This record gives sequence, C-alpha cells and structure tokens, in this order.
Amino acid sequence: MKTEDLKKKALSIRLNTLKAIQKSGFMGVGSAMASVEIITSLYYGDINLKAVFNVSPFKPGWEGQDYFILGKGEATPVLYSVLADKGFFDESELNFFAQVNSFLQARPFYKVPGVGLSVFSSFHALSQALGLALSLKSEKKDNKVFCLIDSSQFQSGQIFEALTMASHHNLNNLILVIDDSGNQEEGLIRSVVEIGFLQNKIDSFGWQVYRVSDGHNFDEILNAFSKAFNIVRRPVCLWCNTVSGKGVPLIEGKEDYFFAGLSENELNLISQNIK
Amino acid sequence: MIGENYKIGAFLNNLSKKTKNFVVLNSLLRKKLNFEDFIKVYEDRYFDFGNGVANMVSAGSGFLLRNRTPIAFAYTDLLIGHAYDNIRNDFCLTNSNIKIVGFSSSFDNGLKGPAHQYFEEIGVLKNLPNLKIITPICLKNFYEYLEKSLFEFGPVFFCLNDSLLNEFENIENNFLNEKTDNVVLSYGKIFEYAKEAVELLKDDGFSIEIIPFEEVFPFNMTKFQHLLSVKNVVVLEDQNENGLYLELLKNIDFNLFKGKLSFLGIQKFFIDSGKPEELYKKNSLDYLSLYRKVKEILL
Repeated sequence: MKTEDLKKKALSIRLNTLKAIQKSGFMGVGSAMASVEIITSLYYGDINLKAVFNVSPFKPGWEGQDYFILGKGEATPVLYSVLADKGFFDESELNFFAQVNSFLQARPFYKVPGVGLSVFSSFHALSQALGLALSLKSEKKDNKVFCLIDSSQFQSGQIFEALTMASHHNLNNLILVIDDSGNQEEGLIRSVVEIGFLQNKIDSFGWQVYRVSDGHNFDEILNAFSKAFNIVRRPVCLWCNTVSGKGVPLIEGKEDYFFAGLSENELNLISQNIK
Repeated sequence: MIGENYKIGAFLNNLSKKTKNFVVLNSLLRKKLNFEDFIKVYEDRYFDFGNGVANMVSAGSGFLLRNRTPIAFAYTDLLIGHAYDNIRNDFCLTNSNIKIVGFSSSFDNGLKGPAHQYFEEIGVLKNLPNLKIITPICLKNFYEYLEKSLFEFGPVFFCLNDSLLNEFENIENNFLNEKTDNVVLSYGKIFEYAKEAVELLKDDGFSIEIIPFEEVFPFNMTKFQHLLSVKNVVVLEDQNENGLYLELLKNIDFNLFKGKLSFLGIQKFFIDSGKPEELYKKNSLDYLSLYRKVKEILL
C-alpha cells in the first residue's frame, strides 16, 4: 500500500476507533490515537511489495502466519478496528466494543478472530510474546512475533526479565515496538517516574534498537521494520516517538486526554474536523 | 531433603514417549529436580527463566499459542507471591492450558523464615477460576496426576513438597471399610505424619482410617459420599483452615452428615524460622502430637 493510501486507511481506522470508544465509555482515547499509524503500518504496510505482517482472515491457523501481541490495552479498539476492516469479523461489532455481552472485550481476547492470545494485563505482553518467539524458534519456524507496548511499562520489572531472556536466546524473530508518547494514565511519564533514554537501556540488554523519531510517519516506521527484518542474531526494538491524541484536533497533544473517554458532543465535533 | 528419587527430569523424559506436546519451563529448580536427563534429550523443549517467575508464567501462554502445553516449575512462594497475577490473567480467566508445579510449600522452606512459608497457598489458589489444585501424597502419585493432566485441558497447580514419601502407596485401592467409625483426611507432606498417627490409634483399638485427599480443589464430593455415615472426620493439613477444611464446610450437607468435623492444621500466620521437622513439632503437627490430638477428638 502506498503512503497516501496508508494515510487514508489510518483515517478510517481512527474514526472507527473513536466511535467505538465513545459508544463504550472506554478510557484511553489519547493513548489509542497515538498507536494508529504503528498498527496500520503493521497490518497494511509492505516493504518492496512484501507484507510487513503475514496474516489472513481467510486462513485461520495458517502455519505461515506472523503474530501480533498487543500489550497496550488502550490500543485495543484500534486493533479491533483494523481486524474488522481486514474482514476478521463484521464491522458492526465495533458498536458493541467493551459492552456487556459483546465478544469484543476491552482487552485483547483470544475469542476475537485474529487475536489469538488474550492479553488481559499489558505488563505480561512482552513475556507472552517472548514465550511465543521461543516456541517458534525451537520449532525452527520463521514466523515473526510483533509486540506493541507503551513506554510507561519500563516502570515495572517484568519487562526487564523478558528483555534479558530474549537477548539470551538471540530471538531475532521477536520485534518489540514501543509507543512512547511521554504520557501515562497519571500524567506525564517524567513527572510520575522518569524512565530515561530507552535507546541506551534496551541496547544494553543486547537488543538492536532503532529509533523512529515520528511514530506517525509511515515511511519512517516501514523503514525501521525493513531494518529490523535484516537483523539475524538479536531481538529488535523499534522505539517510536508518538503524540497522544494524534490526528484528532480537539485532543492532540493534550495530556488530560491520554487516558480519557469521549462524549457524544466531542465525537460530533471531532468528526466534523478530522482529516 | 531432596533424595535420589527426585529425578523428575527422567520422568519427563519417559513422559515424552507418550506425548511430546509439552515444554518445560523452569525457575531455579534445575539441579534440585534433576532436569538434566530431560535436557540431554530434549534441549529444545526446556527453557530456564532464572529468577523471572512472573516472566516464565506469562511466557507459557506464548507456547500455548503454538499448541504446546507449558509445565512450569518454580518455588511456591514465588509463584503465589510474584506470579499470581500472571496465573490469573494469562491462564485461569480464560481456562487456558498450563500445568504449574509449585515446589516447597508450607514448612519446606522453614529455614528461610516466615516469608517463605506459605500456609495460605490452597486458600489463595482456590480463588482462581478454573484452576484445579492437586496435592500429591508421594512422588509416584505426582507423576500419575501430572501425566493425566497433560491429556486434559485447563490450568492445574500441583503443590509439591520437598519430602514426599518415596515409596508408592496404592491409594486407588484404599477404600473405606464400611464399619469404620472415624476417618482422617489428609494430603501433601503431612499425610506421612497423619498416617503414622492413625497407625498408633489403630493399635489403641480405635476404628479409624486415613484417606488421602489429593484432589483438593475443586472439591471432590463423590469422594466424601462414602464418609457420610462416620462419626468423626478429622482434616489434617499443613495449611491454614481456608484449605480443604473450608471446602468441606462449604460442601457437606449437614442434614446428611451427622458426625463431627474437626480441623488440625496451621493456626497462626507468623511462624519462626527453623528446620521443617522442628516446625512441624513446634506447631504440634508431628505424628506424636497428631496422635494425641486426634485421640482427644475421638474420646
């Protein structure tokens, strides 16, 4: 898909996500918007006409498929919007996202077609991805495992266990994408617990780190994926700088909206102004 | 103490002849449980996680996505204390397949002090949805349950003690004599002491038998049906009263069971450091103390 088409796709994903968030009362609109380009690049992007991420709604359980473990709970409606758009389930299901009796749970749920693995606690995601990558490696399979997490997770300890282990096993089939908007639920990361310069930290664990200075620029994201695929003996991390609420004028860059919901009025206002 | 019989690696090796559909995840027990025999043959199915117990449990779900059943070994205190959230969210809530072996519960790690002595293990684990709790009374008993569990779907937690009986008791044939008046229910390490106490009581002329209760949760009511007519049921466990005893209280129909139900186990939460045998004795859970206490109940 060309860059212009990716932009159009991201706009459509963004709108569907916003609607799902508003209907459900889900919290985390700013956080979700920050991840739209990353997830769109993964599912729709290609490098020299070869898909970044191999998955198909028409081939469930396909041995050649890649895996995506979403460890950023607030981006769940983005993932569901993408999966609906891809044809894993009907788009009308998004109207019931995170609501009672809906199969679209507020966090990635294995019963949702295209999800595969439940990630109820985002802090577990990298470990879950690690296990999957270890399994594939020991089965001598080439499938890739992508994992998206929020940078604030570096305030918790389990992630460092997983970083160490992945490096120890030279898991070049594991690609960690960090969405770093500088925000977390409680406010700015630096005002809660500063996590420091991630490049050096992750690099010191034996990972190959590529910085994506604009995590909303498709060319830059795809270029980083391209580099990641050429690494042969190390796990790779794409450290993406993003903006909370990106693409939505009313909330873009506004700290308070990172973990906020969306009212009907706000959605109407946004729908008129979003491009 | 760990004896030569703890060759769990060799057992897993044999188990692989029946199914290769499992991977072994280990935290800190490689030497203690003799995994070497397994690693020699199946290096690609063995993964060491060091201290990272929470990481290990979550990683298990990744293996599961490749249809490989994780068998995760770690110290009980780390599993309950550090990885509870991981067990709950990554497996129990979704009824996903994992076999967790918690090693060293109750007084096993007595020398390391109170933080390493978990008496609420069963009580805590019982709260987790879909989790089956097995408390083997001997090593062979553990092997049988582990093998069986690999052919059944769902999360299972095995509470494995440091010093299980080395010789196999033919528990399957241990049916209750219809004329028995009194029954002791027990499991885990303390089963060994309870058994000795019951033998002494038999010598004293009491009509009494001991029944192993290794499937603690979900509560196996069919196993209790045979006990409705007895006069005394004494639960002996090296856990607090939120373990098997509470399950009995909750599940027994006291309109049908007219006997007396008693509990002998851990009564307090903070226990001194010490060798396991000394701690059992100090807490009146050695076989002589149990003999005296059960006798008081029966008289």
